[in-house]
Amino acid sequence: MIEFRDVTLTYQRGPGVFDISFQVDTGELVFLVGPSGAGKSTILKLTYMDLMPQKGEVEVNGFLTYRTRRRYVPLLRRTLGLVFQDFRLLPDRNAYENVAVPLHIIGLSRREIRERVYSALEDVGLSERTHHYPRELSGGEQQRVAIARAIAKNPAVILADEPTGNLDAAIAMEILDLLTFLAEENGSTVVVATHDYTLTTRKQGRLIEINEGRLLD
Amino acid sequence: MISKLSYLLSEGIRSLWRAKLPMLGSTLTIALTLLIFGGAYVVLSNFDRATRRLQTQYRVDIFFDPLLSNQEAFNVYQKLRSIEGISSTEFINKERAAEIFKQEFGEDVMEVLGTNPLPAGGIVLVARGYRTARRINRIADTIATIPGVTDVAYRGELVRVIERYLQIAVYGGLAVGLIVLLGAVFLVSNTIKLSIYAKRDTIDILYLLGATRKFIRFPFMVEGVLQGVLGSVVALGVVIGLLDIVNYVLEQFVLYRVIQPSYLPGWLVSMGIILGVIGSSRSIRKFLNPKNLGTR
Ligand SMILES: Nc1ncnc2c1ncn2[C@@H]1O[C@H](COP(=O)(O)OP(=O)(O)OP(=O)(O)O)[C@@H](O)[C@H]1O
Ligand SMILES: [Mg+2]
Repeated sequence: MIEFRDVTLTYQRGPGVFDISFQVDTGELVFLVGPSGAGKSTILKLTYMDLMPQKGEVEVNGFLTYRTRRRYVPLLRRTLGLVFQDFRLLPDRNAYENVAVPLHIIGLSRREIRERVYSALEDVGLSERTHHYPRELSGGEQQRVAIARAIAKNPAVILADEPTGNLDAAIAMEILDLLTFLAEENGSTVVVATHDYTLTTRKQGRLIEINEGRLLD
Repeated sequence: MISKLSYLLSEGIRSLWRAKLPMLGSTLTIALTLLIFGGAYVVLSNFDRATRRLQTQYRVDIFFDPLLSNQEAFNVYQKLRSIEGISSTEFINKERAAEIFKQEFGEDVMEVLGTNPLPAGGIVLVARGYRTARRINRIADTIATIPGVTDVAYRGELVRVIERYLQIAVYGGLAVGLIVLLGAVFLVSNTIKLSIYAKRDTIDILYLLGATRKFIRFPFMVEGVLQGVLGSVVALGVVIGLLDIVNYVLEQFVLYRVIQPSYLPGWLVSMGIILGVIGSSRSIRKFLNPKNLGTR
């Protein structure tokens, strides 16, 4: 469960987002859409508490921004599956190891990590690339490693920032099907930020539209 | 928990292996520091041993009234034992005194004079805690006031000289050691910082994925420990090698051998580990400051 209540955040050197209020229920699939620079990534960063609101508050999985101390932020993040717009893979780790990192962080056993990593990589169609390093993978393949890393721990909430930005239409649809499946069958809450409206029209799921830092309704 | 620990351990070893060059830098810095330390330690402890060997310098010779018989002199000698600060005493009767005289001067007094004019005497060793010029002086004075004692001799001047040098050596060694240590901490954390700079992104990513700062720090600590152990082994090897060379040279000329203090390996390894860990934690602190993590 995610809730924004009158959230405002302005960057020191740039715009930001203003008076944002919305709610995403458990098991819901939501598309956060808007043009480039609208504030989609900013809203996701507020959700995983990389940024803290200057006004208003954000609540995620029971963590409230105004009450959550810096040192509890990692606890929140362990309940989240994050796909970053710029992937953020570890350059000196192969696909397998990259997907395994969040699982090591939550302290799973080696055996369980193995199973989950392979199944996540299979879900995104990368079973053949497990031992390749990011520099040996195409942009789309790197993006899929990032997606596998986010879903491997079976998180309560998945926040995906342009998860299909580098994928062709066919694979993009497969990824969206996967995310839809995780929401419907697994009860995960899924938020997908994208500037691509065509993507959203082909899938069920609620739209939250944003432009110039403000929600449209 | 165990698998997490083993993961973090292997991460530490691995990152050490990956960043061979910067890690070589900090390991050598640690090794150099410990080399200076180990060398100073060897020199100081050998100096200490040498001065302790000069135990005779802490000896006080006593001469009793020549008119006293052996028995009478022995009665006076008994009073020495109660004096504070004395570790052992030895009685020298007139006959033994004549023997010593003969050994040292090659003349038999009995043959020359027909009688033995030498006084009975005593030898007193000053106990450990009393081996300062001032205290020996006081002991000698006390002995001199005992009736029947005519003369007290000790090499006070030499004691004072030894004392002075020992003091200079100890304080000098401490001062140099402190400066070296401070410099080393600075140097080591700077070299480690260089290798951590390269891992800035990794630190950020781990934090984003829910790693606590402890989790992120752990592999760096493992790396620090390994560097410390490696550095100290290198330093230890060099010190022992140098000792062998020095002893080989000494053997050609004198009977004296420089010894390796038995605590040396333990000291160097633990100091290496401490240096490595302090270096790592100092250099990573900045990167783990919440203010520097994530977007601003
Ligand atoms: N760290 C920052 N400092 C200053 N301004 C920033 C910062 N990050 C983002 N901005 C600005 O805030 C606005 C919103 O950025 P944001 O990244 O949320 O957009 P977005 O909707 O994700 O765009 P895109 O689709 O291109 O990813 C933009 O104008 C951007 O330039
Ligand atoms: Mg964005």
